[in-house]
Formats: sequence, structure tokens, C-alpha cells
Amino acid sequence: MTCGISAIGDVCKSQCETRGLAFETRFETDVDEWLTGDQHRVEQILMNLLGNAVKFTEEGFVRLSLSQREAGSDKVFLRFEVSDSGCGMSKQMQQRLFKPFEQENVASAQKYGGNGLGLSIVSSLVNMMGGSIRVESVEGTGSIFTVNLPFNRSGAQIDLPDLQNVGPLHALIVDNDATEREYLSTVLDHIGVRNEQTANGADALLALARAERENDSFNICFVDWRMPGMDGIETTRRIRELCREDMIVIIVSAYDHYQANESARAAGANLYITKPVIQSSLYDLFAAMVGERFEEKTEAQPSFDFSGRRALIAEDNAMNRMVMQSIVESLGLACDMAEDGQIALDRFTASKPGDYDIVLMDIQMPNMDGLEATRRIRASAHSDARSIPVIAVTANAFNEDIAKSLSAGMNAHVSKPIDKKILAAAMEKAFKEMHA
Amino acid sequence: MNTEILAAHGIDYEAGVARFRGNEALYEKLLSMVLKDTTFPRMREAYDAQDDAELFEGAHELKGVSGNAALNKLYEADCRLVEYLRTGAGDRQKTDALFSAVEAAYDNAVEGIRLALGL
Repeated sequence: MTCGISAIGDVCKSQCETRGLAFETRFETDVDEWLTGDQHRVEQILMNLLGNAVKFTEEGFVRLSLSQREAGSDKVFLRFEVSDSGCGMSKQMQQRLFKPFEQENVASAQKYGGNGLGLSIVSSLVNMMGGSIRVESVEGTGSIFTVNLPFNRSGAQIDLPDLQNVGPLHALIVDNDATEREYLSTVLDHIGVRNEQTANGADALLALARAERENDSFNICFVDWRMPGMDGIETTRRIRELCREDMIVIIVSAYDHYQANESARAAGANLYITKPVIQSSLYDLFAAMVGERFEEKTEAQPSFDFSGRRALIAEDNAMNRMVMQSIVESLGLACDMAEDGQIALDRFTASKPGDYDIVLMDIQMPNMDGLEATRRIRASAHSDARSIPVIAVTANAFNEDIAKSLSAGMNAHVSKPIDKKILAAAMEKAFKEMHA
Repeated sequence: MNTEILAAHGIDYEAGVARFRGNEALYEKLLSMVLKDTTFPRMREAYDAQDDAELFEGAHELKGVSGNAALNKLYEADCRLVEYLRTGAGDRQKTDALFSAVEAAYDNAVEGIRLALGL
């Protein structure tokens, strides 16, 4: 769930950036990573509400907030709140808002376009899912749409190995926003990382010095980019002056800018990540960083052996095909190559059941791209159409690309340049899910 | 194979060979394919035509190719261009500067491959 929300947020963030608006995704409580529900409808609802928020806001912000309420042992309600500082709407309009073809007035329809159907559809979708929707709005100030939707807890949970076996982690969260601090703290608790919080850079330096004196040093700091007084960059510089070189400093920001990333690194940060920080990506991050730093303490890398399996690889670039084939064969699989999506689709549909165990799919290809090829594979009459794992292999690792891959029916996404271990882990996970 | 020449031209021979399970001949074949690869020439055409969409497609492809082939300097320069174009570009001077950096890194990598392979 959090991955999906993060991807939707990224799409909206880019629309906001184009219009000069601030965008924020905010997790107000911890949210289960895995929930059972209709993801497609959730995406439709949110994309519609967020699209409207961007459309009707000329300056200021758009925000997506998310919180989870328990509703019994196997059920939860998620509350999505889309707020903006846009033009708002009259009381009369609020009352007829969810009826088809309703718009504020002719001038508004001419200015902003649209057919007035969007919110009527949103309302229907919410009702179909057994949820509720309401709006609060003040003309000239902005609007808040609140949607509550029920979900079942999924039996599937991420199988996280214990991070503690590679070394003790002690994290300091530095953020002036108490909600953000609490959220990150809960996420860290879940993955077994001991953590403390401070509300500003000066207190962070004091906490770091105290921990050092007490022989209980921190080894990771999460520093918010934008804080009043000492900002994230300055705080990072001071941490670097104060602490050992192996302190990991991660700057966390709601803004995804290349320049910001550069400033963060110039100040001495190891990483620059964007909010919302989600549990699985944070875990991956730690596993990678800790694995690297405590390499001598880790056990031997798991060896993957997929002997006896066969992969269908769709890749249009000859050099990339060569590299893919070498890596995939080194993992024990036999390979068939396809030079574009159409050829991959033809090979798959002409194959006998069980001929292929997995498809590795480039996205950007001539004739038919990987997204379309995957959709057609999934929709085909082949007996393996729904079950065969399809992994996207592409140079684009941006969240919207990952979201597009997943919504086309792919199981996972691996970035180029191909890392053998990452590809192997993705394949193993896909095989496990297929047999589950 | 003179790996020092490659390193001086931003190419990580060891990482490249590792992708081929230590098979140096295969990696050297891959390097020779860089010289024939049409991705960058297509990017140059798109750049000259000021076609940012096509340039983005090419830069995206080059990112995969250069990363896979361990052409590290080219990969780094290209990542910057991809990131800029992805957000909509718009500033011609910025596009010019980022493309020039990719072009210089590409020419440098090609020169290094030619020298190392004795071509």
C-alpha cells in the first residue's frame, strides 16, 4: 500500500512542480505495507482528487495525507485526505458536488475545463468499495476531501531478516515536525532499529555528544531538509564535524531535486531520500548500507541457482542483450531472446505451458514496448498468462516508471545497470510468490 | 588489454568483466560493440533537431547501455541529462550544458576503447 501511495504521490509531485506548487505526502500513522483491496480503484480515486486539487490551485500547496484505523483483527480503514490551498468552493456547490455534470458556474467551467463528471465517478467508486467521502471547503482558501476506505489485512507480509545480525543500529531522527518524527520512529521500530528523536539541529548535536559520552553512539542520522533555524544542510555539516566518519547521515526531504541532492552530498550526507519514507525501501536501504559497512560480519552471500528454468528476455539493444544473457545464464537459467515486445509476446503465446518460468522485460522497445507486451501476455489465452512472473528491467528507476510497470501486470522492477544479486533476489521472490 | 587506458577514460574493466563471469573476451567484444552502437548518434540527431522527447528516449537507452558496459563516466553524465529531461527540461542552456557533458564523456569513452583495443 505504501509503495502504491508513494508512486501516486510522485506523479502528483511532478504535476505540482510544473505549476510551481508545493506537494507533500504525509503518513500520519503507520500504515500496513500489505493490504487486500482494489488498488486500481484506489488509484482512480486518488488520481482524480489530486488532479482536481492541482487544477484548482494556482499557488500554495497540495497535500495527500494517509492514516490507518484498526477495525477488528483482520480489517482496517484507511483515511486519505487530499487538501489544497486552491480556490475552494461555495456551500451550495459542496452540496451538489458529487452529482454528475456539476460545476461551480459557467466561468469556472470555462476557466478550468472538465465535464464535471470526475467527482461523481469518485463518489461512485468510493460507495462501491463500502467507503465514504466528504468535503470541507472555504471559498478562496482551499478544500479538503476526506475518503475512508475499508481494507482487509493481507496474510502476506514482507519477510524481513533480522537486521541486528549485521550490527547494532542506533538512529537519530531530526525533524521539527512531530508527526513526521513519530511516523519515521514507528517505521524504524518495525524494522528493529533503535531510535531517538530531536526537534531541531542544535538538540541533535547535543544528543549525539551525549550518546558518545555514554558509549552508546548513534550510527545513523535522519535529518529533515527544511527546518527553521539550523536547516538540514547546516545540521549535516555540524554532524560531520562532530561525529566519526562512519556516521551515516541521510537527508530526508519532501522535495526531489537533483540540485538538492547535490547540496546534501556536498554537506557530507551519504544519502538524500524523499518523503514519504516507506518501510520496505528503508529496510532495503539499511540492508544495503549495513551489509556494505559490516561486510566482515555478514554470512556468505546466498548463492542462487535457478538451474532447469528458462527465461524469456525481451531487450532491443544488442549490448544489453549480451549482458543480460550472461548474467541470467550465470544464475543457471536457459535463455531465449526477443528483440522487442511483439516478438516476446509471440514467443510466449506460441510456447507450451511451462516452457518459460519467467519473463525479463525491457520497457522502451520499438514496435511494442514492454508495458503493452506485458498487458497482452496477461490477457492472452495461454495457461501461464496470469501466473508467469514478469520482471521489468529498465534504466528508469523512478517511482512513476515502477508504478506503470506494476499496473501493466509486472511483478517487480529491476534497474539497469543490472546487478546480479538484485536480479537474482527479485527472481527468487517472484518464484516464491508464484508458488504461494 | 590496457586496463589503465580504460580507467583513464572512465571505464571500469574489472566491473565489466565481472558481468561476464570473468570472461575477458566477451567484455572486450561488448566494448567493441560500443563503437557501433547507434544510441548516442541518435541522441545527437535529436539534440540537433531540439527534439527533447527523442533526446530523452535516447538518453534513457544510453543510461542502460553505458551502465551495463561499465562506462562509468558516461553513465554518470547521462544520468544527469536523463534526470533533467525527465522533469520537462525547458531551459535550453541547461540542456546544452548537460548534453555537452554527455558528448564529451561519450567521445572520451570511445577514444579509450579504440586505444585499448588498438583500433
